[in-house]
Amino acid sequence: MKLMIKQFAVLSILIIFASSVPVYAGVPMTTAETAVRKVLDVLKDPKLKNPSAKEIKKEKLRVIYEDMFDEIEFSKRTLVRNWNKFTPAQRTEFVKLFEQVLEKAYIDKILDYSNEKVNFYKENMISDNQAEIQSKIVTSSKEIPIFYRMILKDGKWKVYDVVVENVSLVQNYRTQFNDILSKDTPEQLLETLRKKVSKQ
Amino acid sequence: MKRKLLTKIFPLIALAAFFLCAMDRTAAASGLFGPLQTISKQDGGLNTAIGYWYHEDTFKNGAERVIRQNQIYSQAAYGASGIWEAYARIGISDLKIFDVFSSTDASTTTNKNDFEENWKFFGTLGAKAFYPINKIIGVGAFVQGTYYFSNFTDDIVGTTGGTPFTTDLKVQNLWDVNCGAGIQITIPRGVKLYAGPYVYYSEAKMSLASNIPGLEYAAGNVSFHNKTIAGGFAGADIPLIKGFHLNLEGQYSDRFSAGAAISFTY
Amino acid sequence: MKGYLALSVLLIFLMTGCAHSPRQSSSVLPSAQSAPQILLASTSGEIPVKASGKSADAINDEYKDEENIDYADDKFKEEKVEIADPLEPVNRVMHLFNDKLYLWALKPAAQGYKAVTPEVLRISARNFFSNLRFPSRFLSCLLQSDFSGAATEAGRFTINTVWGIGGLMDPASGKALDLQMQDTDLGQTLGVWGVGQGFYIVWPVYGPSSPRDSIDIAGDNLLYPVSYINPWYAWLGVWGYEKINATSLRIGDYEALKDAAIDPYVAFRDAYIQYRLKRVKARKAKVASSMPSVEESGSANPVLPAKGN
Repeated sequence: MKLMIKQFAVLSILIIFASSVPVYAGVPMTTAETAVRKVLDVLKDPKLKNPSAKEIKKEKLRVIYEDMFDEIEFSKRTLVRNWNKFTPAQRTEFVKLFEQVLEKAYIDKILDYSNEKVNFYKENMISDNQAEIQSKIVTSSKEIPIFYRMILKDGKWKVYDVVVENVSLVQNYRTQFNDILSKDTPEQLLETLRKKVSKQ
Repeated sequence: MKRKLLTKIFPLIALAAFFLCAMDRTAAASGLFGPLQTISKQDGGLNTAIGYWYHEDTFKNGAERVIRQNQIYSQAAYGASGIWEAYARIGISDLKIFDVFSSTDASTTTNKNDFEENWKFFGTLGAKAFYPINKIIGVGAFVQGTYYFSNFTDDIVGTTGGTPFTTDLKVQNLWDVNCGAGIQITIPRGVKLYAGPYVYYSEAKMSLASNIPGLEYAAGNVSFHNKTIAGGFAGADIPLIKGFHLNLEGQYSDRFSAGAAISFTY
Repeated sequence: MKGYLALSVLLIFLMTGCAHSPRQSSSVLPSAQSAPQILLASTSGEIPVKASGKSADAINDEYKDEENIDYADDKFKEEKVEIADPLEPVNRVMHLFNDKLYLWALKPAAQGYKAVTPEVLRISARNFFSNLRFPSRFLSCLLQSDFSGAATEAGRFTINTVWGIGGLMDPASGKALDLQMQDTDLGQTLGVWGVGQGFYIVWPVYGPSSPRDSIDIAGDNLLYPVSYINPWYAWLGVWGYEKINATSLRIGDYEALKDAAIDPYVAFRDAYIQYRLKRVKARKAKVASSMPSVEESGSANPVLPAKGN
């Protein structure tokens, strides 16, 4: 009888330990969360409230996301096999233009930030060097799940895909680029991107 | 500091409530008054309820008539700091008036004696203030008014002097105002017991579509109102699980009325 | 890619809201016809890119040719999902129509409405309509043998109708009760049963859909009390109000996705397909996990590939 109680106790402890594992936040999660917190700090910074400080804010954000994202990995994954159809010079330009397209599309939304809460709640290690970090943004009217997919390169975890409400950005652009490059040349795609960037 | 302020404000609210009621001659009770202290959370919040109320009272205009109602309502309230609350209800109710069709003239006969009509909408507004004397005991006051949006109507068939007739009786603009004050005691497990006196005034217009000898309320609006103007109430608010509360209450003026509500605190 | 993206938080991407109907459904089961479009090349087990570029000038190396660039063995590869689009020319016209409908009618109306209506009221209105959609969610749960989901929905409906001021408030999802809305519909039910999306359709007004999800639109309308409002112009008024109200809560999402897209038509098609697919997977995982007798397939994580659909 006593023995059984002991076994039971040991078992319970094991269960408690086992169930507490998902709560553990590893390096990838900490990395993503730290970067996002930095972004929020910039957005909330009272010294940058003035509309004229918009450019300063943008510049500060740029520094953070360049450290957080692996844009080359992102570009490659969206182009997949088409990557090899680009010349090295075209690749460099592509990565730069793509970055600008995304910045232009999303920067205003981000600068609109008004006290939404961001919760990081789960880290899935997919393999030794890939992880998915799950977070959600909670606003007064909705919850938006945002997952960051990260890869370990040279000892540093970087984000290469963002999954917003179940939609993977990499996958979304991959489909678009496949569609475009099945008809057009890389140069034509670059031209489209250039126009998009220069258009106000 | 806060407490001092409260001490000053409370008698004012109570006084105002009584004056408001006293100025309107008197009244009919309608629905639960609820615990004197709001069940909303301290920093302010909603609470909602669904309730049932069985109501009886005696009305008069010359003759006295007993009325009976079954009311079902839904309530939304906002309160804060455990000291005040404002609430609104919307509900439906039937109406029965006993012996209103009994003829006083031997040549008139009717097919029934009682007026009966089914569900009609009503709305209620109320407000309450509470002053906690200590953790257990406190005093509070409230004002509550109800208005029926539509008329109650019942048809009556009969003969008068050998001639058949058909007519109908309308009960229009039924409304009431109640004010009261009382003591509340919080016993273990958060159960709140409360009791106190109240005064009320209630009124409606009655009109019979045509003049029939021996029937009251002949054509034209006759207003009638409650016979007794004061009564007492007592009730309990019992916390259930997960933010739900059960509220039981009885009121006695000329007749006894009682009801229950289940409320939810956000 | 940017932190911006990160924050794209705000970016709710999804077709929901917008000129595109919120609920459709669908998941594409990676069907035969779509597979070739996606997988550009067959690859058997190469090592993905990450193996490359560890040298000092790793940055430059990163721009080199990639041998194994299909990411075919990547853990997230199941996302390579496509849908047949035989109606593309017609769909593109409809897409354009919906785009203008949104930009010229729905959005201005929603902006005006938003300017004069506090957010609390708009959220309450949304709760109210959402509560009325209870029958479709309840039935979907039952049809998926998700009995705990059905019970949750029934509890939510009762509590929110009775104590939530006729559904205007949502006390059921609060901390005390914790009854969350079951994110399901009839299109997902068909998906859980193994019905594929078929091909892509853009309906005017309703937006992205498929034959399977069109059944969802029809069934959902049958189970939605608002559909039975008479006369027709009263129905139209309520229906339009619901749309404007919903849009007012997500203004800017549609625009952000559209602005970020190189080919918006393809971007919305892909987003829709991905979104529906994962919702069906999530439902399958939920049903599987609540029925111990069934062999667990794949992982409970909806993101990971489920075997054998």
